[in-house]
Amino acid sequence: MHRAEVKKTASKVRTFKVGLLGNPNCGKSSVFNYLTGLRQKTGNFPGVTVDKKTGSFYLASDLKIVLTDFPGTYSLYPTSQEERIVLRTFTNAEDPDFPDAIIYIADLTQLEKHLLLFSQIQDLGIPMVLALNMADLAAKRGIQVKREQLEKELQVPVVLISGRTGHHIEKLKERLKNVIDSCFPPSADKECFKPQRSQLFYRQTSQEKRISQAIRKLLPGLQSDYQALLIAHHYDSLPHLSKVQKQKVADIVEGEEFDELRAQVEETMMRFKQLTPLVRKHLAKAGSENLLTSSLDNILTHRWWGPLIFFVIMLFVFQAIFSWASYPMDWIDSGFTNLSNYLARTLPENALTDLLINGIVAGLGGIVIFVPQIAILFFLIGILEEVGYLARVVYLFDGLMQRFGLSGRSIVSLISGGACAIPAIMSTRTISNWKERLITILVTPFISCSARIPVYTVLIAFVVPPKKVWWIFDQQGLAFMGLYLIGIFAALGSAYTLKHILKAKETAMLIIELPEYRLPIFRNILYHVRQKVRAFVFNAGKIILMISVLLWGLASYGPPGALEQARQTALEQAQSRQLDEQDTQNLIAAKEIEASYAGLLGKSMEPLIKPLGYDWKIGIALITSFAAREVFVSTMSTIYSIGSDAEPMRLKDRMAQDINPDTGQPTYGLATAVSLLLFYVLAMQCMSTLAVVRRETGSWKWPALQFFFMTGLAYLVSLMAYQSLV
Amino acid sequence: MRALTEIREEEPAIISYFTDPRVGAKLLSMGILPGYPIKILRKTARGKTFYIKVGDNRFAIRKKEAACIVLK
Repeated sequence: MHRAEVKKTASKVRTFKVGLLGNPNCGKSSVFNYLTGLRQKTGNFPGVTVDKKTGSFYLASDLKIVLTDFPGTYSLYPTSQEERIVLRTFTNAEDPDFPDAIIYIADLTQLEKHLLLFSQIQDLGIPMVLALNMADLAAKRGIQVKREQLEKELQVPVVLISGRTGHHIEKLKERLKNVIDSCFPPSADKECFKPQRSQLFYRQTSQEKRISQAIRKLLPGLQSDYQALLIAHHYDSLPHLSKVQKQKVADIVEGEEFDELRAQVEETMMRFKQLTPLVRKHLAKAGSENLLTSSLDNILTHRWWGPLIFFVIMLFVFQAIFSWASYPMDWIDSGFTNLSNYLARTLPENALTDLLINGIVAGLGGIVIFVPQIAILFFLIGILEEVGYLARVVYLFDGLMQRFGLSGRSIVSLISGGACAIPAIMSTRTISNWKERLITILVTPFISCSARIPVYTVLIAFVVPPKKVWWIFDQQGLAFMGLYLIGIFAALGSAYTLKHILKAKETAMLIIELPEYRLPIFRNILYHVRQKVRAFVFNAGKIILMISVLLWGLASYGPPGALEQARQTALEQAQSRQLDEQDTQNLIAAKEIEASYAGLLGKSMEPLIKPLGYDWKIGIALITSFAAREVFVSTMSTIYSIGSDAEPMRLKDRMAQDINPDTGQPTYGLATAVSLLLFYVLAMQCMSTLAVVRRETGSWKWPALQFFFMTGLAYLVSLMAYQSLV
Repeated sequence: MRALTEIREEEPAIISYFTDPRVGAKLLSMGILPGYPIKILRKTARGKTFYIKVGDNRFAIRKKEAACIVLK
């Protein structure tokens, strides 16, 4: 009885969808974080890789709000993928994200500009609350707003808030509740803030009226003339219209000889014609300019100092991901090793335990190990973004990057790629042009990441004597630098090629705001870091875990009986050579991996990789490297039965002693080592990167293309190097 | 009639109209309107990108797009 009652009340909770909308840099995310706290989820808007954040909160015990944070948008005439999402949603009442009401955030210090989209949404007739953000900053600058008059004139509730301090967030909720209570269901005694603004911001011309009427007849689900007008402008890019509907709209629009661009300009001008005097009337500016931004930009965007300071800052970021991250990474590494050891000690020795330890725990370790780098990179980039510096980076480097089909923002990703391609690729979301973003994603893995270093170390030591060249520089160091340069060259070269091959969805334009410098809000940055880490662990992580288990299966299983036989042979050899226990175990491991499926695969690959100077042993290491490049070293160590955790330099000595049974010559000469080095510089050998590319591009097409392109290039270059050196 | 690309840095001017409708539409949506005061604060080393100020707001714009802004 009692229980049934509870259930009944629970079902009475009314849920409303509310959208959070505003221009870029209006401080929307701070408000979102204040309203939803940690009850937020991140996903993608359907069909595109644009972050969609949703969260929930209660306005009353029986009134739940599901809040969607829409991408920052200037207008319903979109020029980027993000803005198209907003248009798509607001022209389709059936869209799952179509909100019942809207919280519109406008920056009080730039009110006029920020009200353009507001006026468009109001013409759509969606109930709204207008939150004027940065009220604290505005007050400090002597900007005074007549809130009540503004409220009357715009006919929406207006709240002055601060996303920085949380000032009046409760009031915002209160006003939202008023709006919802009065509009759902509409009641006569309460004032509903639905579109009863006696007069729309934009009065359509007679031609536009004819068009919108015809479209409303065609699509009866539309709720306003303005929605119909937007469809007349954008029907071609709206996925919710069927082909037939698009054709019919096209007929209407063409029949009227509708000049879309002209109409758009007229409409926008008309809106500002009303907004400008309105803002002037209700906003008093004391007129003190922000001198801090001007003087900082004198240095930070200076034509010579600017780039120099940027490289110093990036050096710091690079250092952070590269070396500071190594401490938590070491802890994670040893943590997982301890866990494996513990499991190995306590669980019975069988295939299931082996799967758990070497497949699943190792796979999980391989995911978690990237978390420090991702967290540090997004923390630092988050600070640069929040203070407004990243927009300056775009200004400084756009010209240079344009030549390679990249955006000014790409440079941040490319440099971060020097530590790890994964966070670097995740950071491309801020590149708004799809083509520029895609090229950045595709070429970033060419930049030598930290996982290549162990491989470089072993192989360079193998071929290049540590002879001093000049001052503190020796030949090995120069060789190291050479490899990095090859990677950079390959990245820019392929970007240049892709620029000419890939088709652009939209003509690239660069008109970006350079916002005023502000102190960062750390709460926002931490939420952002948390969101990125979760996205990696739960999305890319799944794929990484699957491949890791697959690789484990390949390395630990072979054809029936093959492994037992390998073990027997190894034991006999060990006895005849009187090896101690450790060496015996190492020899068994070597023979076992040789007999496993991975070994068979390595051997069957041999004809393919022989022209590059590799034998089946390297073939196995190439396969296992796919888990992470540095695994090359431990796999080779296993194969040479010196134990997988041997010092890298012992491997180098052991490889030098290896004699090819066919020729009697050393197996690994200069030619092989150089060829292998080039292969590791250029080939796509990282499943985690592929998993992230798949997530960021939304399809397997691009990671597949990237894999074959990079590996193919690596093959060609290594082939030429080996053949010309032998 | 001069385009934005034809004035010196720090030289004050007023926007008259935009020649390319697509660029114009984008400029309008960002609050860059005819009749507003505009000036170039600085350019990048190779002169491909401009740092401009329109009213109280600052923007970065490519030379190509700046050429579409005609001044009074």
